[in-house]
Amino acid sequence: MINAWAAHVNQKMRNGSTFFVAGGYFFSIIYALIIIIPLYFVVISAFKNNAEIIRTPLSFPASLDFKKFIQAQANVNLLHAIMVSTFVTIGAEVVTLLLAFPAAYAVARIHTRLAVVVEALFAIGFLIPGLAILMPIYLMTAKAGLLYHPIALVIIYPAFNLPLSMILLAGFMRRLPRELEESAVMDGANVLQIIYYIFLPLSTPGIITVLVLNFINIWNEYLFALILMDSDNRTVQLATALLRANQRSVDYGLIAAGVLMSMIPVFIVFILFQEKIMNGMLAGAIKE
Amino acid sequence: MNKKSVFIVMALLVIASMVLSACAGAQATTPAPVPTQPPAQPTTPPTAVPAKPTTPPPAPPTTPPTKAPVPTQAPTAVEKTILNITHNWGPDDAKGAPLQSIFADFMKANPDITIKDQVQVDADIPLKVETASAAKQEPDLVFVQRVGSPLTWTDSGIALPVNDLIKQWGLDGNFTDVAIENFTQADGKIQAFPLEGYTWPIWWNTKILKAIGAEIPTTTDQLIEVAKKARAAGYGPVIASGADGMGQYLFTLIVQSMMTDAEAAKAFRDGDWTVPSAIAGVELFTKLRDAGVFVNGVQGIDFAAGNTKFFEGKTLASHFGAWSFGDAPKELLPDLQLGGFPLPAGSPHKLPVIYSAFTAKGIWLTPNGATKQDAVKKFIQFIYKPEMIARFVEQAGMTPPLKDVPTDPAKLNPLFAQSLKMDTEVAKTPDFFLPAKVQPNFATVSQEAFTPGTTAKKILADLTALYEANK
Amino acid sequence: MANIESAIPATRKNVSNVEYHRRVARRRRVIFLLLVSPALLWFLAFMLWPLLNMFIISTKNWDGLALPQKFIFLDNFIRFFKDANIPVALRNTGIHLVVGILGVIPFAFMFGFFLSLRKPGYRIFRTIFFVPAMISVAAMAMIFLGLYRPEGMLNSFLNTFGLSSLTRLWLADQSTALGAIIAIDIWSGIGFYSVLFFAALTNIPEELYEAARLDGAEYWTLMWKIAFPLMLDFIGVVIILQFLYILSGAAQNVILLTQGGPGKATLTLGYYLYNQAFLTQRLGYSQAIAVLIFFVGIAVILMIRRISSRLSN
Repeated sequence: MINAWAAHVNQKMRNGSTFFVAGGYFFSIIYALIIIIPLYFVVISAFKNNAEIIRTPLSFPASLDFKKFIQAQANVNLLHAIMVSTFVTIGAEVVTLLLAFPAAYAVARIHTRLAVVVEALFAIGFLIPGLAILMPIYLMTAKAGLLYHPIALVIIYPAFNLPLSMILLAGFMRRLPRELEESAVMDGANVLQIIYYIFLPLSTPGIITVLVLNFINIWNEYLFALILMDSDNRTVQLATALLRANQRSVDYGLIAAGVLMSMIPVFIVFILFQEKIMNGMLAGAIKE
Repeated sequence: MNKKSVFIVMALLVIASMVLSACAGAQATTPAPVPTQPPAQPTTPPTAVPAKPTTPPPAPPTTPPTKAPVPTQAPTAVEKTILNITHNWGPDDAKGAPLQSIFADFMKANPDITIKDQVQVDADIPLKVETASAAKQEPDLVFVQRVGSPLTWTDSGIALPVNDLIKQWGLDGNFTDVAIENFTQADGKIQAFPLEGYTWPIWWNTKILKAIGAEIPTTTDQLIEVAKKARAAGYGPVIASGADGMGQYLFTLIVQSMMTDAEAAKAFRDGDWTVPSAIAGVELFTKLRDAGVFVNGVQGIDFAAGNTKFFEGKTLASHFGAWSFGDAPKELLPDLQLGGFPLPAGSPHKLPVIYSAFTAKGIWLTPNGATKQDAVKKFIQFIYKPEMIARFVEQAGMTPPLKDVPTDPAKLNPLFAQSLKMDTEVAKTPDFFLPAKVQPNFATVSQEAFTPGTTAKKILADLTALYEANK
Repeated sequence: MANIESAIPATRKNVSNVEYHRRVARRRRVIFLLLVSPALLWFLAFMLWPLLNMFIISTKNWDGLALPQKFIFLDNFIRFFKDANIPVALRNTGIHLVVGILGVIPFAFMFGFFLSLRKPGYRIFRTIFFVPAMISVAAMAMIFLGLYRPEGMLNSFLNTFGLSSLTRLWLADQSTALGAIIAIDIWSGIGFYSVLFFAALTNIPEELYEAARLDGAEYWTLMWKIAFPLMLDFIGVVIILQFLYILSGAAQNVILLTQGGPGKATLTLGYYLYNQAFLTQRLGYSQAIAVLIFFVGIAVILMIRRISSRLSN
């Protein structure tokens, strides 16, 4: 259906739009190159030693030796770190959604003055720099006996992601027509049913957006993972950090290898789920 | 998203968390290469990656409360003590292997004690220890340098002074005076057991010197001449990493070459940059800079680039610490000669100056560690056995803190062996003087200093402002 | 099993008008609170309580995690006026914000619109554009160090094309360092937000374009006259996101690449906060900076929302 629209649109376009499209391609290609080339640099660096990386950054490696990958894994147990990060990410994402979705619905669709207060409260959360709350959270975690267990991160990260998730979801839900609840209520539905059967499917684009944004935040988080985890339960960022920034002896190839390994799961997830994401977004475009 | 997939995800989560708990509990700690950060934190660089070091035995029966207890060995009559040690000597560090071998041998000799070591990024260790200390969860022993916030640990109770312990445990007299002095506070408390010493010499490329027909300069005037000749012949003169905290130490070394240690204290500790020798030192630095003694663009070179460039063999000299001994390519070794920085006219020193100290690493004792006196005592006595320390010397080129360490000269790194015989004078490293608040911000000023066009006056003004702001 | 009487007034019972409305409002509030409380409690526990802490610590003198804290009330804030770094940080942050928002959002929007046209190959572009968002901090540092070094990719590129005169010590030159840092955020921001815009734009029903197209409008017009107004809300959200990111998140690049230097060229508020908290160990003052960032953030967010809602009305 959307493709039909695209075809239809293309038929009707005139010359001026050809310029637009040409320009679009031109700039897109340039930007894509600007993205790919540095990435290519990281990839080939994983096969080189320091001298080659520094002197000839873009030259193709002399040999495709995977020893740096093996070394990266051996040094910091990258695979285990990836597992820890995956666990934390899935857990935190689920918790965030469970918390944020009903709350977003409430704020967006229930007319009470409290809604404004609550929404403002959450918005404040945006502005809290992580550093500021490091110590209190550490102490809380220690008291709860959850220090060094990844569950601690699963519990804490949703708090950081709630403001954004709530506001995005509420924004999406606000755009849905008022009548939705009315017809549901007339059919005798209660709140939870309305949320679950009506708003959930319709908010899929919002949910996907939130999942994606949160994923990035969680996967890349360093500070709290550093303080709350020990070396047995490193997240992927902690593990790759151990490979780098040694002021006295950097092995850039090793860092590149480690970094690549840590990005592979992310890439796989995105490429695999691209279609689902897009379908989800398209589903939202189709009106009930 | 339908009900089914939600439940599946939940189920997977639960399973995953169970698996992870089991895994985490049984996971042998894998030591990792740990980066370090300025200031002077010498860790010898990755040599040929050693075979994976022996790892501590898997989860002992007494596990931290958060992990699923592994009910393997039934608790025997002897209760196992666990020593929690935090350090940054991972497998990529030349000192990683000797350390692990010491751990392994210690545990063999003491079956009732288990060492659980954690490798952390060096720069993160103070933060981790301090936050843990606030919750009384700190490790028992910490291997960290005596620079930056650890300087405050004895006063704040995060670490305990070891004066009495050194006496009680029979180590009195084993340490060299310099090592002890390097770890002693103004009030006489010894903050930690000194462990790692280093030298930080100037590295000369004698092949280039021969090619341009010059000798290693011993005065700054000679240096300027030699630098000119090197440039004319197409070589780089002196390289430093002006962009980061490593080049900072060349700046301070040059400034200190005009100062006595007492005067250096006035300037670097108290922020008094009106001391005449300090002004002279800074002016000397700018004079050298403007005479072309440093490579072009020195202010933009970071340590890794400087390293790489020098080891290509096309640069006259550089300023690396003992941690880089293992980095030098074999082909270059015969051409390398270690020495000090040439003396300027009017210098109070007699010989070219270098930095050398023991503050690179100490073993710090925490209140938690103090509750395990017996185990800690055994470990400390073990690691400070001369033959144990010798492992670090032989395998990693570490300057030992003990008086008599038997080492096999054949096993020593050639550069390290050279460093033992240098004809140089030691200037007190600024790490002893720099206030904790000035320390992390110093590199910005030194980078400015390396930038052509910055006058000595401006540098002095910046330095004064830096100290003023951080009173 | 309550019905949502808020949606439609169901049946009136035998009560007065006022009483009825009061009951409805109360019921609404109850349901609202029930739905919101898990999130709210979570949030209060892990963010608001520590936030209060932030305010409290900002009134103290605290020089190290293990050292004692001492109340000095507003002295940390008075310090703002004596601190020569603050005006510099404000200026740098201001530049960072303006360039980082103006240099990202319009272009991201245009790319997003182009992607939403679904021309052949759009999927590939979309994936590539999103890549910078997926790159971890460690990778970013490595990439940009490799780019900006004296012998790095950027200078090599310029040299190959005979533009040697343009080569610089990008990170060590006071005139280029801040730009180099901002460029990183622009590089990743355009790609990331363009995909977000794409997602939002695909929700625009074709009928809206139809009418304009029948009048002979072209893409450029469609983009600005139709898509743009419809997206104003979302653009507001995106601007806020980018604003917040630059205010605190972007400090990561400064920490890894320039540490505020050369001189004070890249000293931003976010970096200054990190420096004072972790390097210089002036925790009380660092929290005062956090408070400053906090209020600046609130002010700007309110402003953006007001503009955004006014524009969409």
